[in-house]
Amino acid sequence: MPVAQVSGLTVKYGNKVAVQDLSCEVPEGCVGLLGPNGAGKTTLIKALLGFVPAASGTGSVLGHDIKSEPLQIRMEVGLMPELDCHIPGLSAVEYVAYAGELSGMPRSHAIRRAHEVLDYCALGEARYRNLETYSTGMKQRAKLAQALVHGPKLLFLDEPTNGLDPEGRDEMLELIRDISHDKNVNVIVSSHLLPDIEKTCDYVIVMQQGTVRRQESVSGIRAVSATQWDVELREAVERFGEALSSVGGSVLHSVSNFYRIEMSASEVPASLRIFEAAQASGAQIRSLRAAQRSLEEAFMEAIQ
Amino acid sequence: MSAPNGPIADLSYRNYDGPKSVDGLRWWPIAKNGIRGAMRKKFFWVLVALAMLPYLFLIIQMIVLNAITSRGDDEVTRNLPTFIQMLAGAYGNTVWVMFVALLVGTGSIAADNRANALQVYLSKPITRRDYVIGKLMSVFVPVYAVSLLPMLIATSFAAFDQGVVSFFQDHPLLYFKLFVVAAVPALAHSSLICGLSAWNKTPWMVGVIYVAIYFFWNAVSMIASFAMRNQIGDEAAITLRFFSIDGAISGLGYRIIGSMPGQGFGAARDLFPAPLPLFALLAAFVILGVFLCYSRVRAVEVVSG
Repeated sequence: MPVAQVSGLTVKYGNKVAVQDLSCEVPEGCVGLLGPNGAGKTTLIKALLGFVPAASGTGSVLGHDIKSEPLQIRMEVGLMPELDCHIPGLSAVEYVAYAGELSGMPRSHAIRRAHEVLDYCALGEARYRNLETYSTGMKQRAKLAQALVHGPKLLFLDEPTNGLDPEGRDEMLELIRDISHDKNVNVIVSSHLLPDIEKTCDYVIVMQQGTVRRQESVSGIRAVSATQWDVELREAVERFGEALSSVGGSVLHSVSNFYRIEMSASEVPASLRIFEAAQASGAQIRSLRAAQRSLEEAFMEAIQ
Repeated sequence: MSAPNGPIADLSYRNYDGPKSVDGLRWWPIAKNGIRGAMRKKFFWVLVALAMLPYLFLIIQMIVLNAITSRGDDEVTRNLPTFIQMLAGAYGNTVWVMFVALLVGTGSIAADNRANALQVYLSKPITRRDYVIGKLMSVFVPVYAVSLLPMLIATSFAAFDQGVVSFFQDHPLLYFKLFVVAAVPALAHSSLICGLSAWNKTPWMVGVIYVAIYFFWNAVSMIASFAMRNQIGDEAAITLRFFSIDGAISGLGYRIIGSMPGQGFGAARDLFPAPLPLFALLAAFVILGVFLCYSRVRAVEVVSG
């Protein structure tokens, strides 16, 4: 069941069309909204949350209509905005507890829960400090904590690694991966940073100029074609190429003991034929998988 | 719950499945947070003390007047101000209440604008209306309390001093009037200051703008009243004199209390400003303030063109 879906969605800011006739389904799990700046990722999130009205089209989040049930949606989702934002004059624990109260939690529950999520976000004793004294990384964690405090079923993370140093970025990505893969919270990560999406997401929606260019699983979007395979041998074997040709395959290129091969169509599965060729040539296969390209290559192809 | 052979307690993230509700007064947490923030400021209590000074002076005045009255000199007693006149006089010292409103209200929305807090608020099950009401109430409630409490204390002192039964026979609706009159400065200040605050990112700038408008308008209405007195007559002139933020607050207050302030130990002024223009002005302040808030409070910047 999709956690969010839109159909024919158009969003305008004045005369400027930010999202045009967009249709997509966001599956459960960790989904990346990928696109260059100005692609409409943030606008799509804002439309799903009911911040900006749709000029046309329909949509739903967790089964709630984006036009008629925005409050229900916001009660069940969490948003970590892109901008540096906090509520002035509060410590992190007050801020997160306040966010919980705003989400409809009783104050005593909100306070207890604030401590739990701040612990989880590794803010430790710093939670008692005023937010205005925080570093960028700590502010990002506090932003994540306020989005998590009410136990959302779906979390929107808009450029979650903005302004973070490499170490802080790795920690944030680790946190996102943990939330989405180990804690059963659906996550939509909006980013223009391909490595962030690659590290955290299972599914990706590529956007450009307000439209969806491609949506697929990360492994699917990276797959080159169904007939190409990447083989790693224990050591390079010259006769492996010859053996492959006898089973309908050919080496496209090789670097050291890594081979990219192409297998012709046959009733016998390609993987079996590759193992046959290896046995015949005395090669030992270390790994075998469908050939993949980098997400960057896939992304560039999608937006061209 | 941990598995029998698992760790004793899982301290990592757990989903929240406790109570949550979007029904009821969604603006109340916002108002409560604002009030709590105000009460945490030491300077707030200094201003509260200063706002109470006119009423403390009123109580001292009553003690002194009691001493004078007890001498039984009829000539002197006849010219003494009444309690209601003195109460109106204390109420007319609105400047400290304004400073309380400034302290509480200037940053109410401006600080949120500066910290981009609106996205946090509006990503929760909170509407723009909830946010605006919450912010208005976070200013209104402290200002109302600061206006009302000293009046209640002074009036209660007078009631016990005169004798409760006799006091209530003389002033049957006074307590009710106090609850109404305290709302006048609270409404005017909270709506106007919040409205200005919504269009700014710098709280002190809001304060400077409001104080400038407050005093400048007051001075203009006063000068215009004196200058035009002969042409428009006394009644219109006194209404014109009160046609400002400060004037509307004090003028309406005097009407509700039922007396203009006593002039020292002399006779009270007997001319009230006309209530309708002042009430219309107060309503305009509230509508303008709410409109300014509502037109500015958005989760996203609106790009036109």
